[in-house]
Amino acid sequence: MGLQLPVYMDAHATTPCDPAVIDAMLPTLGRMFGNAASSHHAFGWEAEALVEQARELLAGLIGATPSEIIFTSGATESDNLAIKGVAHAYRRKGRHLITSQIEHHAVLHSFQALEREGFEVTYLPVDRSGRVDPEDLRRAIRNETILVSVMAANNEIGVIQPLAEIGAICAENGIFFHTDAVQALAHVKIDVNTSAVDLLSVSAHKMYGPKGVGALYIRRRNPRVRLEPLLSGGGHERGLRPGTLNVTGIVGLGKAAELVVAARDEESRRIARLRDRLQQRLLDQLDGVRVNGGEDHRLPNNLHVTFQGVRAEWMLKAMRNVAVSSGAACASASNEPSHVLRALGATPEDAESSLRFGLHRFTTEQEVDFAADLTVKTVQWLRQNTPDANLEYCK
Amino acid sequence: MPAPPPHGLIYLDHSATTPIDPEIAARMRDADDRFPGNPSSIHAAGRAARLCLEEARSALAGSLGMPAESVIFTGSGSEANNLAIAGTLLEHAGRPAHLIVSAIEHHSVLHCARALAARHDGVTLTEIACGADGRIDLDAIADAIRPATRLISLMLVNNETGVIQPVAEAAHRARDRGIRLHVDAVQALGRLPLDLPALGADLLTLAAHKARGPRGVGALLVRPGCGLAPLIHGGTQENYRRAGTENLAGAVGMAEAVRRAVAATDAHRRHLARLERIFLDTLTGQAAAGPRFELNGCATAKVPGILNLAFEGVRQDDLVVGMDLAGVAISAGSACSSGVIEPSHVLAAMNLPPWRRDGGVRISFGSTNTEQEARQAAARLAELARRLATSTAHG
Repeated sequence: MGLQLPVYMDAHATTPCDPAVIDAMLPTLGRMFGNAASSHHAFGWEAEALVEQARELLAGLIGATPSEIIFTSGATESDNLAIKGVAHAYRRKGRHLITSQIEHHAVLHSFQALEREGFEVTYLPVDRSGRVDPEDLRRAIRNETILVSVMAANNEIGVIQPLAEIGAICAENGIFFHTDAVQALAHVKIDVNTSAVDLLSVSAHKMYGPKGVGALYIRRRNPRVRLEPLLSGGGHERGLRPGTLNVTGIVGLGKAAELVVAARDEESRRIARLRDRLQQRLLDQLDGVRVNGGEDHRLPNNLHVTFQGVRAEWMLKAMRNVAVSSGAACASASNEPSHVLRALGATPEDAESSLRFGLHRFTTEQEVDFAADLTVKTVQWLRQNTPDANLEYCK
Repeated sequence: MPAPPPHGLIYLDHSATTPIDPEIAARMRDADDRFPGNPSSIHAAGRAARLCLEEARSALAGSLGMPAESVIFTGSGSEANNLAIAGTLLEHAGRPAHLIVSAIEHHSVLHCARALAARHDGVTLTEIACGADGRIDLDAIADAIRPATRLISLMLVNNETGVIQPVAEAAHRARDRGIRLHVDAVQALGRLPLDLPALGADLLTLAAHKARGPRGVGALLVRPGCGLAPLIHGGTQENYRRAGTENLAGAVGMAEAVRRAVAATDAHRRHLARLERIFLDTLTGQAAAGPRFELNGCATAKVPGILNLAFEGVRQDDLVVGMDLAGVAISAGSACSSGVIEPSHVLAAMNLPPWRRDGGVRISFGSTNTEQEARQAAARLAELARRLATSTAHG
């Protein structure tokens, strides 16, 4: 196979849909079109059977039971539902919530919305590698704390959080624990029981499934979590998420989960080797390069690098044949320096001189070498040709 | 394994969902193939996806004669209804806000309105009754308007009876009082012209899967200048009004479904009217031997293709289950419940005699139905009703 350009290396923004996922979805775009809530005819039963099969597959991915999974339109909705849903259902028990400074905006902005309603939120700091210190969490807990939300793995620097330790502290204190596992699920095994997770957000399109569908795991036993729904309507998804079920998307999510379970461990090792190769090439051939986030607890597909003195925006423009990014896709309209890098203690200049590489299931060694060469050439060229302009621009 | 596909069955539940148009499915597949990027990413893959998304947005808006920025893509019609209502009522949180809805709205409107009134001190709600003809009471709306009234939410076509609601007349009574009008047009798409200025609508809800588009995507059209508080917080998508990675294939499919539905409205209405006439003629032709039946809802003020019928002395669930066994998919009202047949709030609001209220079944035709199917289904329904009426009378 020759090299296909452009090379896609932005898997934290979205992953290519696996052809097997597309094949699984196709029948639902044809003769299997029923409304899964139409409980009184065969078209509805068939759709319902497909949905329930997907629910089982997804439950299997995280060690849950199928009745603990509800489907949503995406992980942003799942995060909103988990956080606002717990806060509103348990507001009489307490009005204090804890999260980290490096969460996805779907989580951070949900907490900010709750602050405007009178809730109090503690934003835990992270260390230089991006990890939350469980002792900081312990100290932040109060009698009126009802929820802790810490992401499983970060979408910018790929740092993996100590979920089991956080879960244990939450369980000891009778506090619900939500994790946004969007970035982690395709690469890291997460078991909701081992990690004492009570709520977990899933996105299909970050694990080789389609866009427009996600899920939320909601623990039903030990303890049972109640949620106030975000949306009102019909009784779909046990009344927690009304709206006609996106059968096509749900089937795609189920298939994506099945593929991850089958391939994850070997695939993660393969992707990590490619990522290490990319990292090594950049470090070997360029000065003034720093890898962000710790290397000990990092997603196998993540490489986040600061190229000192080079503005990322210019690099992106120059590197047209490699799709990488300078931060979260969802923030690209706002143009603010990354809140994640600032939480790590990076200067605004460094934050604006960083690129995120996101490798994936279909990344090849050839693509890695191409991306490495192009990055090296681009950084060298920008440093030689427009050093002053670049530095000036960074200020 | 899912149940076998319902080949050879007659599908008459198009108000629940419609089979996706194969050409629309092909376009979606094509969009997925060609634009794997996240539309919010700034690299070339992301920009191409963004361009495709914005084309879909323009096309959808253009089909309704609106500017592109008036379209907010959502995860479903239910979500669009929730966003319209909660987003308007909570835009100035804390200020008293009065809301008027009709008693026959879809649950995503009715339950959202009730939840807001229950959870927020400043929000008050008036539910407007409707007549035995299934039309909402216009005078009751005029009477309900107060200085604090901020929003009136009405459906254009009722999903259980097909009765067209006097939305433009209601808008007229609210005119010049600073009251916004939200129109749930989910069932009207493809059956009535949709012109926001002519309807006096500030906000209008559509769902793709009711018009041969995909499930999992809906849209709220918002008149430019109408502020909305978001329901789902996170990234900056949909101009800060609805966070979450955009469902690109869904948006493409929806835009195409709306374009086709709007362009084909007249032909579609004629097709549905013909099927409905054949169905009713066949039923009437065989009625002498069977029980009395009535159409629920005004025959002259409804869209073609949706029939709500009750047979005296015959139970609703017996009809639905019996028809399913006879190979015809019909329903007992809306699909949006959890699997049990609940009493219809729509028929209850119409103050019908008990046999018509409790016995109503919905038959809804679509573009793929044939005249032969209409004839066969009616014959099977007549036969079933006769048998059920006899067995009930004897048992």
